Amino acid sequence: MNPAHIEIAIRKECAARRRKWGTVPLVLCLLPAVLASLLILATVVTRLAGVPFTAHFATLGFHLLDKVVRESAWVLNVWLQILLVFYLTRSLHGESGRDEALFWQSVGLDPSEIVAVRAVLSTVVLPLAVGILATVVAASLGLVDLAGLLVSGRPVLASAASLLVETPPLAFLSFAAFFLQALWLLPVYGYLLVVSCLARRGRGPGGHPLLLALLGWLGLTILGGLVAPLGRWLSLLSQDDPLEAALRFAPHEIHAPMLLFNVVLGLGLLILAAWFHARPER
Amino acid sequence: MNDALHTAALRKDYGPLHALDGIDLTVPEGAFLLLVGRNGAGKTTLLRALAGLVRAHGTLLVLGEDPRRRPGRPNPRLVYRSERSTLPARFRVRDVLDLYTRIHPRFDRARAEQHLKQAGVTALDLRLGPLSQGTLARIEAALLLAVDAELVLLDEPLAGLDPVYRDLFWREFLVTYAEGRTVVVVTHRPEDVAGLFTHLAVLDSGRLVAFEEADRLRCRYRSVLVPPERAAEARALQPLAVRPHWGRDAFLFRDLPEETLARLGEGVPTEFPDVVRALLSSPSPTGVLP
Repeated sequence: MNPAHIEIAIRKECAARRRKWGTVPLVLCLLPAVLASLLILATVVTRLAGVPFTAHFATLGFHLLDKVVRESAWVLNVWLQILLVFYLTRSLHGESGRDEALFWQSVGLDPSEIVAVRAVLSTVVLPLAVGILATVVAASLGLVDLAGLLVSGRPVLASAASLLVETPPLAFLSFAAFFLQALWLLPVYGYLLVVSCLARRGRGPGGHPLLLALLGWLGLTILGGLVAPLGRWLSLLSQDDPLEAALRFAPHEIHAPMLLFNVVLGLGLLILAAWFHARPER
Repeated sequence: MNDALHTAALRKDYGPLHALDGIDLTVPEGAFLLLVGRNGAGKTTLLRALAGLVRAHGTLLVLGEDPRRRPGRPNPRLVYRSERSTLPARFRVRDVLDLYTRIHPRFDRARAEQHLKQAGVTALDLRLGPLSQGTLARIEAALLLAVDAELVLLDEPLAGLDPVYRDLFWREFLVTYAEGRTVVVVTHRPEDVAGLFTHLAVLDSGRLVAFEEADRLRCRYRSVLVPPERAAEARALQPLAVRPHWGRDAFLFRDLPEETLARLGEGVPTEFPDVVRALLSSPSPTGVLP
């Protein structure tokens, strides 16, 4: 496995998919930005003209912005998981009827490198991007606060310093939270890649990766009702949320043995996906 | 001279269908093999088996190695091109060039850019998605010609291309490129490679029914312009094909003695596509297999 191959493939993959992947998060970030701008405008108008309506608007806006910022990490996370389900199930299956696997092979990318590109994108690159976006959204609230202080004539130095000091650790924490969550969900990502490979050989419903993934997951859930350890693992996977724990500055709440188990299982599934991907089809 | 390809009793079944039914084939290094057959004869399956993309049973050696021993691993010594474009729609031409340059150990970017220019693809920032099948085939051809491969496997590589570019590709590009390399081409347009191939293989229902060197093929297959009064005699000798030629009928024969041919009429140059068509329509010629 050559890291340089993985790096260039990831860069090209991100560049080629930037519109498809970037639109939703941009809208999610734009929303608080628009709200913030309106809020600053409303505060200025309130300050200068003392219009009661704009004062109400400003109060409402602050609440709304606060809500948007608080929920943005959650919304971005939902978006990220939906994107990954679609991306991973389709990525080794082929796209738009074109035999993409053949393209990567002709370029000279090893099957393990192809799977590694998907794994690094899911666990590092996309969580990092989402972590940065979540930080940008959170920092926008701080900027609005500063603007509010500035307009109202109150001292801004302490708030500005606080914003400057808090933003970098916040960015790191956001990324760490999303990264931890990605490690937590690594078996799911590995499972989706295995399904993506198997669907290449499947016929009928078995040839549709998303349908196959859903059917497989349904089977696992039913099996989980019969086999207690599997049921417990599935329940922990969906309930114990490392993203929330990390964002609450409570990493100790993450179930460490389960995290380790998930990482090992996820790596195993990725190796299995690479093995399947290397086998000639049919 | 070593063998570039060697198969013995190569089989591939898709359920009850025998896609490859015991193929014995040996191709020397530097040969240009034209592989022909009717639809469903097993040409693509054979090519994909040689490229390691399909798991077949039997003996299989490609450039001295069994591709099944390293499944899925790219082999930089060989190039495989299918008739369908495999270029991802989301990439631009430049992205594909960058990927090849950074990853493929035998890729010459300058040569690829030169071939792209010759093919009329000058805007490297074009996204591949909206491009026509013909333009994609040109890009694929330019990429192919920039890879310093020892074995080139082409499955209808120029499908959808205009005759001018097809001619340019085969006559100018591939004549220079193919030198010293082993080339296997599957095409339904044998006339495109009439002057290039050194060996011909004919597949029918998964079986290799003919395999011959081009020089021997020229000696064995002869066309004669037969006058009407001798037509009945010519027909009795079971010609492989009859085609009109300047108001008379040209009969194509295989393995007929020189004196018999001279008695029938005047010899005319044998059209290679006629030979291929004759082989395809009567695909079990006796004594053709070595």
